[in-house]
Amino acid sequence: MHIHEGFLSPEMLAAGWAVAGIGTAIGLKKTDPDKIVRVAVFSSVFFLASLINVRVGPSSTHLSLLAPLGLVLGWSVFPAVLVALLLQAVLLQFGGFLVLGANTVDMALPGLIVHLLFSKSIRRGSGFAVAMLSFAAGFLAVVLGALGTGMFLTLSDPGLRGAVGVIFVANLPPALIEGVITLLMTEFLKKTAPDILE
Amino acid sequence: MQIDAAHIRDSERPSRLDVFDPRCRVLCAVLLAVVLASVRFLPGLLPGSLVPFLLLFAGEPKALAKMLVHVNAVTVFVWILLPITTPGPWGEGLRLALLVTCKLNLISVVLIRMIAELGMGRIDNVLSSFHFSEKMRVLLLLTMRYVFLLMDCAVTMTRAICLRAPALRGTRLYSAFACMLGTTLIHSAARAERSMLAMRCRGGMTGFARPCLLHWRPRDTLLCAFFAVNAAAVVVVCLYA
Repeated sequence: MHIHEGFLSPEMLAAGWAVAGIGTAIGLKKTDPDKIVRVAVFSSVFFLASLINVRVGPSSTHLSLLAPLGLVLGWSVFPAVLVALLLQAVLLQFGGFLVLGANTVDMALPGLIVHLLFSKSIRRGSGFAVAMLSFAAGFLAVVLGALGTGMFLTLSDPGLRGAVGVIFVANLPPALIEGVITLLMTEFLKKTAPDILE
Repeated sequence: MQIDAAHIRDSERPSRLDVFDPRCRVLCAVLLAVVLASVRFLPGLLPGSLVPFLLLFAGEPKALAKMLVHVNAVTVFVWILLPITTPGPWGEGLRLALLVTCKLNLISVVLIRMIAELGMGRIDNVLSSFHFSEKMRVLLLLTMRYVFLLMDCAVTMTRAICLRAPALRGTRLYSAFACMLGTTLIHSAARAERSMLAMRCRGGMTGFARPCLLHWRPRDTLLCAFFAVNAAAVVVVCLYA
């Protein structure tokens, strides 16, 4: 889901930085200083999730954990994702520095949308309904991320439109896996540490 | 399912560029990278490749080559996909793939040499001197710390799953990994609370991220001027192409 250097036009780079900047500023303002360590922990979990390779047929993909991150952090998902992506760019050369804004929007915005749509219902609900909502949250976060990536690429260069369709289809199996992982993680957290989801 | 942690390392490496102020390195790199990102025709990249070419020799070439191999994994898909999917006359996709590959490599060389090789400590100094929010910098440093702590935890747990159930497949495999991730989250959150308590006992976050002083010298101004001239050359060539 990472966009690499060289793909985006300066206009899209600026738009990405503007949205990411606003989201991060709101996220930082809403983050209680006492909770900043917890945000750092989840940010590092997001970083490490990208190193967990899942085999899909002959190929492999990696987890993103966008939905669990969004469900737990709310608006703080923006600074958490920005920092994790910066570290990925510095330590692993995933993504890049110029595209950091666009990548943050691609990944943090789905997390925030999932938080706004599902967080309350998942916290209050129980049983099958929570399982279905968690699966939907995990699936939707990856699909929205892929759509965001596609939007940035298409608006940068219309020649990339065909490739965007392929990228979107390629993201559907990881979205299903992410849905299952989110479902299982939410059930696990609700049973063992429900305060984390508060 | 496995954790690919072999290539995590601290990126800070000694290089000839260390004589320059980190702020100057960041500013120059961003200026040239933005100009290179805006190029839409291959001739525009010719003057823009001068600085990346010089930067190849500014530090360890082997380490840079390894990073570029990693970065170029995406170009394999670009060369397969774009010629098939790009609308327009035959060859348009190949032209676009070549342009993207050149831009990716040139921008990556500039940003890796000028910014990534500064290491997180000096990047934090730069963020501080540019008046970034202290909350953000604290978050960055704490995340950096927890990445390495959690990585050990996650690697141990993944190894445990592989040893206990090497033939695990399907939903059970995902269930095991979800539990592993959940346990890691709970352990980490508890650890974070303890760390926060310890930090409060030591006087809170005041002075947690105290940066070193940076000095801007005439040679930094010269480097900025050199990059600006190079960026201007790229813009001029693009305008006339």
